[in-house]
Amino acid sequence: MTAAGREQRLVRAFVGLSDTLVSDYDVADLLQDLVEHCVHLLRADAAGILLADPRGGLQVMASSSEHTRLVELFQQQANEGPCVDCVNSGEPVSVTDITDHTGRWPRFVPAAAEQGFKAVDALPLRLRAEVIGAMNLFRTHSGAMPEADLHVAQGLADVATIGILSERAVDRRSVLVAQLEGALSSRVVIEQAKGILAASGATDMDHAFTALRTHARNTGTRLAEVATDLTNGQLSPATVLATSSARAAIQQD
Amino acid sequence: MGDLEGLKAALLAAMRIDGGSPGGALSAVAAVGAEALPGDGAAVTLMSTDAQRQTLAATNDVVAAIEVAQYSLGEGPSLDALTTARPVLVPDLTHGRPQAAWPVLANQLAGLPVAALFAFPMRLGATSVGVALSYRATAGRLDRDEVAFALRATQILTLTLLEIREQHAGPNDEGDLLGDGRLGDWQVHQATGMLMVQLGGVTSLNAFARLRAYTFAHEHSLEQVAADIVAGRLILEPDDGTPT
Repeated sequence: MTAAGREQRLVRAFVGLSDTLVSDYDVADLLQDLVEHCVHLLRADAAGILLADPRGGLQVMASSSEHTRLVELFQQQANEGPCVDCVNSGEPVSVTDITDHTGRWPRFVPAAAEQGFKAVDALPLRLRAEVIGAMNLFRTHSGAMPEADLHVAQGLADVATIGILSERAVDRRSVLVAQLEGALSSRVVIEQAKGILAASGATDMDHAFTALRTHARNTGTRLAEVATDLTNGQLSPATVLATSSARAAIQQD
Repeated sequence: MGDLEGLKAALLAAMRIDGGSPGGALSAVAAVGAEALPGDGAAVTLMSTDAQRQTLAATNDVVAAIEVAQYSLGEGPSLDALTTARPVLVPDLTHGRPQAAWPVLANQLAGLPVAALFAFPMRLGATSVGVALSYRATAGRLDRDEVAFALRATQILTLTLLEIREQHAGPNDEGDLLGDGRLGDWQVHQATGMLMVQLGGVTSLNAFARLRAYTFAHEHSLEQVAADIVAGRLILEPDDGTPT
């Protein structure tokens, strides 16, 4: 990617995320955009987001890939790892070589190593005193993430957080609970829709999600809306699977 | 934080009230759920499949009046919670947004000792089951623990009501199947979606009920059965519970 091309994509990413401040949006889409920007624009090989569940604990809300093993690695950090440390302290956690931290995170380190990851950063999703979750960036090479990349990642995370917390809200706590519950609820429907697509197209969850995402983008619809239509039978799985395979064919040409 | 384990035990006991008559059990379970919610009173209103609403339980006359007002006017936090699938927490009815959002309701409630309303949607995936509503006589927000408890209590109440509706309630202790009020492992929802297709186009409620029935009959954990379905190691047939 050229410097000018990258700059353009960065600007588009920031503008896209800040759109949430003015338009109708869904937290599920916002977080998915955020993790995808991070792996496309930064030196990160995988990205994931955990949000504080209003019922208690942390819950995976977005992952740059839907591979079960990767999602499990993110979810494991609800108990132990850089993400939960980051949420508790409200400060970034930077790990240049995970093998140095076996004592600190005895379960997380081997699980991350098994997936081929060597370095990890966790950045807070935070507005002033309110920490609503953390973003995880994994790399398959050890060493520090370039300072400039970290700044961009934190900037993207900040814009997304402001969108979720809605700066204009009078009663931010109530808005936050509603937003986080809404996001969790969207995620449940998205997971059900992935199951429907996987069973209909005999494909795995990763491909099912790609099909869902592609259909949502092509039709300018929110992920949760496409998912709801699928679970209500208003949209046929075949339609969603056809759009996505048509697009894959075009990309291969 | 309230006592979730105590609530589960009370819900399971209420489930068996009235010799298995679904109507009596629904009301008894809803009453237990309403009593557990934080605030000065609470009501549980169920949405039936034909979009009819029925208030199953109200802990006092004030909250009963709020329910009647909301559903006859067609506006209020409960209806917003239903349509947006989000909790609607209104710590002070007399200021700002509530007046603008529900002008007629705010007016109607002016004569009642109601200053704050909290509506929690009862949902399973994309399907709305109903709404649990609580109120406070004095303005003020629910604290973090109260919100967490209310959300988890609502989830457990929802599962119990569905259990009665599906009528495969077994005689044994089903406490584990009610879970801990969290949304749990995403694979459970993926497996529900897969079952919707594999069982021949059933609704998410039926697919989930089937998943739970299988789990119960085979004494596995919900997470393990879900993982087996997602991995293709277990396929449930449309007619009975035997795996192929």
